[in-house]
Amino acid sequence: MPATKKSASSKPKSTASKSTSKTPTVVPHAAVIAAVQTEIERLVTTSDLPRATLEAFSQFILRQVYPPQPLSIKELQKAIYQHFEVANATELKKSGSFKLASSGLGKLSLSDPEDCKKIYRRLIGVLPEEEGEVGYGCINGINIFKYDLPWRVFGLDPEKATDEDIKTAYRNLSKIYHPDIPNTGDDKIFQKINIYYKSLTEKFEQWQ
Amino acid sequence: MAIVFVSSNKLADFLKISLEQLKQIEEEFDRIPDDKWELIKGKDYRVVNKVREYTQTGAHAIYLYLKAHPDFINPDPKDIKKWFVDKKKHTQRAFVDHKILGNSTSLIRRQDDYWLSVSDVIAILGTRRDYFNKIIKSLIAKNLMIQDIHYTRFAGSENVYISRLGIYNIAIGMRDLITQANRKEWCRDVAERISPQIDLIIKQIEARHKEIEWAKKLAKKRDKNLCKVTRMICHSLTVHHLYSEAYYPKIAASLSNLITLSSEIHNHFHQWMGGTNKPCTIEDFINYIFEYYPEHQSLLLWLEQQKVSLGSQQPVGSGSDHVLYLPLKRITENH
Repeated sequence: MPATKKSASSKPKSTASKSTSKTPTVVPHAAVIAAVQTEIERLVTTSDLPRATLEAFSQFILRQVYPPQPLSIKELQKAIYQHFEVANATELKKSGSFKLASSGLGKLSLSDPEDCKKIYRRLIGVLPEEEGEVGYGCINGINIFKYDLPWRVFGLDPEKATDEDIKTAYRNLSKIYHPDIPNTGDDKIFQKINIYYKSLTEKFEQWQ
Repeated sequence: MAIVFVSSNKLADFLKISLEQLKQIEEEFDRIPDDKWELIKGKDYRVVNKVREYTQTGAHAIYLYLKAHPDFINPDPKDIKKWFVDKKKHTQRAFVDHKILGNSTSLIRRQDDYWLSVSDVIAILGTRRDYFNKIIKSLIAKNLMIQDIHYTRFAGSENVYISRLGIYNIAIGMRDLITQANRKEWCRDVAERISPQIDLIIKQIEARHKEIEWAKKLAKKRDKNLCKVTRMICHSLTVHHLYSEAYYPKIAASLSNLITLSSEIHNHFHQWMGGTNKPCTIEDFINYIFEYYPEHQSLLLWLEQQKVSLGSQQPVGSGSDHVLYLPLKRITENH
């Protein structure tokens, strides 16, 4: 999926995080998703609206109506223990791998959900409630200030993408986020995009 | 991989028998050759100071003997097994630590992290360049090799350095791709040990620099706080390394390598040498004294004595560099 322009609001919406563990999980019914897809197809053929914009907008609406259920503290802890192949917090604290992988995250408390989320983001993956996030710093549903997922940000499949695909995706993003672009240009975002581009096109065979 | 041995004492404890009983069992094993109960020297045990030390197979054979004889308390084999597993783990980790220690001369602190060169990382992992490239490719595809987080190039250099997190990712990536069990364990241990071992190296380098400062204090005390050349009390007394600290770090904390000088003489010597950045040796200082203070026979004699005591020295860059002798600024300054 190509990049979406950042929304007018400068801060990400926090509707998803308002969900509590007591709220039952509500997922969009398959029929709803199918209806949205059908409507997108209709709009693409009957109007000039680009598919990517429509898809991004539909995802945004679906997230507002069906906010993803955040992981409970126990689920977060379990995922972290599994990642480091340990049974409990005591073993985790002794793990050299954990100390290294969590370095730079400051003093962490495993009973604090926010600290667990920091570890989860860095090591395990995208938190369900942050999947498809929109707002400042979010490109293709990923908040680049929370996650370093260049392939997702570039909207590319690492197994299939060619160097030319990477270049094209980079150019497309540059057209939005280059600091010289009025309204959407952003130096901080563009710096990240640049690093991602260099990382994806790195000539590691020549490393010395 | 080193073989792990358990002492007779420890094995007797595990098996809940006395040392005497263990010796009787050993005799029983040795009594009839080629029977059901057999212990092979070299494979099942070794003898140190006339006492046997057992391998895991040897310990297991004794355990089976006890199990087959109901007059003994049936011991729990899990305890022995756990002991061997833990011991093997510690031994392997010691090997990994040693490998890291011997392959970290590129260690440098930048951007609030410690980094190692590509060649050092390849050596620590004990892999080939083509396999290393394969791992990097797979990590890039998984968003796990990102510039300035996992690898970087420092200003003015084309050389690539890998962060501790980068090394961790490479080691885990290798562990997941490799099929050989012992190589998998090695990679897992590199991931586990890279950071604590670098921390230990840093502490050791810092401790060495404290030793140098301490040696300088001792040198002043030895020289009675006088300039060794002028034999005068001076306001600014400095301690000079006869073999320069930067080029001969291995003897930087040696008292024989230190001499107290007035700052005037110290500066003059280095100017005579062509600048403070130029490497100097004890031979240079002897030549300097010959030229400017030839009458100072006792000093020349003392210098000759220090020269003999210090022996032949090789400067850094001559192939014997070691991470523990890196300059402090390399691992503390954040560029």
